[in-house]
Amino acid sequence: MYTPNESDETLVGRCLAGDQAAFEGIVVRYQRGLFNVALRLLGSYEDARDCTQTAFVKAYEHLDTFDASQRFVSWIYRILRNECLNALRARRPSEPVSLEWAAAGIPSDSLMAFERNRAVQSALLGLTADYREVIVLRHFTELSYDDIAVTLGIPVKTVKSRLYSARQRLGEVLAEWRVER
Amino acid sequence: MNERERDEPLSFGKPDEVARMLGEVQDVDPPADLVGTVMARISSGAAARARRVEPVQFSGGKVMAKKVLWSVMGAAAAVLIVLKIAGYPPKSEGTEGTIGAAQRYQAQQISDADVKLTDAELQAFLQSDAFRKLIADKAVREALANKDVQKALSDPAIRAALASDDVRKALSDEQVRHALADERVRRALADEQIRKALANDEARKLISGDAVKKALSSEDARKAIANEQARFLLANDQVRFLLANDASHRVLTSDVMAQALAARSFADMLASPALIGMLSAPGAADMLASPALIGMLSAPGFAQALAAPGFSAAMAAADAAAGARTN
Repeated sequence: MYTPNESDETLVGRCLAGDQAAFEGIVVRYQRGLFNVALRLLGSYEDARDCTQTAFVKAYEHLDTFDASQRFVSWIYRILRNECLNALRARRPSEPVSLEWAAAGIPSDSLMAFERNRAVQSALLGLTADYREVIVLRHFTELSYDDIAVTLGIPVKTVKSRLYSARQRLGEVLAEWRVER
Repeated sequence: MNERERDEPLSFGKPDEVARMLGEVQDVDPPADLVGTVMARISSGAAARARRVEPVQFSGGKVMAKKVLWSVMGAAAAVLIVLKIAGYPPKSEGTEGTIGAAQRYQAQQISDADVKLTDAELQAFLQSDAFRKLIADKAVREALANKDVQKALSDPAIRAALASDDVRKALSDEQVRHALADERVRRALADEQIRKALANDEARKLISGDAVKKALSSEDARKAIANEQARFLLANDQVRFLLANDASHRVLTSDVMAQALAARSFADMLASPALIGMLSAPGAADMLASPALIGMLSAPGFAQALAAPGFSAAMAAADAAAGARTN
């Protein structure tokens, strides 16, 4: 059992003492964030689901290596990011990625919103992995610049400059986009 | 949608527009079974690990089970410690006169307590999964090897207080630990009314600024303060004394201390003489900040293990074994 107001550190401590159920609190807390990051990084619903699950399992298995001086949120996103990069490396270049999930949560009569969503995702997938991850972590999570820097293992300054360049590149890609007939 | 809309390229060219548009993209709900699947994978993985003894491959090609290796190293360390305490191997003849005193000293250390390293309860604790997780943290290992820390954590009042996130957070702060090492601070905080007043946000705000200097020196200024709790604090001699000191003033009016004061067991902890030893022990801050400690506070056998005479030696052996593994 766990309560929503238990801190990450408390839940981690309980897990380390052998209380497996405490980890459910962590999964519930981070499932949405991790899944959406994986989805935006990979573009595939199925791959995102698999990577998110594996990231949680790996986090649990390596919980004793978590450095308490760091924020747990950065640590778990770092695991997910590595998992996603592995999935991207293993993916065949010709493998098609279905973006049908981009319609999720959008009213069926809002074709424009769906197309815009799909265009954003297509544009993200058109970016290099280092541009894409910085955009996704900044715009699809609550992570601060510091947290992103820890997650990606780069200085904050680099996060900011990379984010600027990534947004410019994303803008260029999106500017070329037209609603399909 | 009309024909023009469908033909027009969307104007997403500028970075700020890109940021705005990214902000409009909605989250996608994670799969409904994600939590269940993860927990099932964890459970099955844990069960598999419990059944499996992981082999460790040595460069010479010999395979030894990790748990067996760990047990052997622990047993070897325990034997070495007991032999060392017993003064084995004996010195060769002709040297007695030069080291006799040292031998007598060592002989006095032998007691039944020393051989309790093999006590079943301690052994069970040392072999538990929880202990394995605990000793993975070097800071915790070092702090727990300290007698003062062992004594402090053997006290139920301290363990109960440390179960609070806020208390651990406060004690991880060097300034707070330093302040609590001062008996006058502890005596003041042992007073329930003072704790209650210090936990009052408005009162703390009133006594945390420079205005407190005037209030400390002028009774009229104190009486003019509207907040009852602040007036109470400034009317108390021991509090006024502490507020006049920059370091204790800073700690007593800090948020971290106010949060710790709200923990019900905080006062009980202050009454424990063992607390002082722990506050000044090397590694205590790291230990208090370690997630590994939280679960151990309520782990069965932890208090008994701490009180066992062989615990320090076991921690030292674990430290050496961990060092050997990393080398």
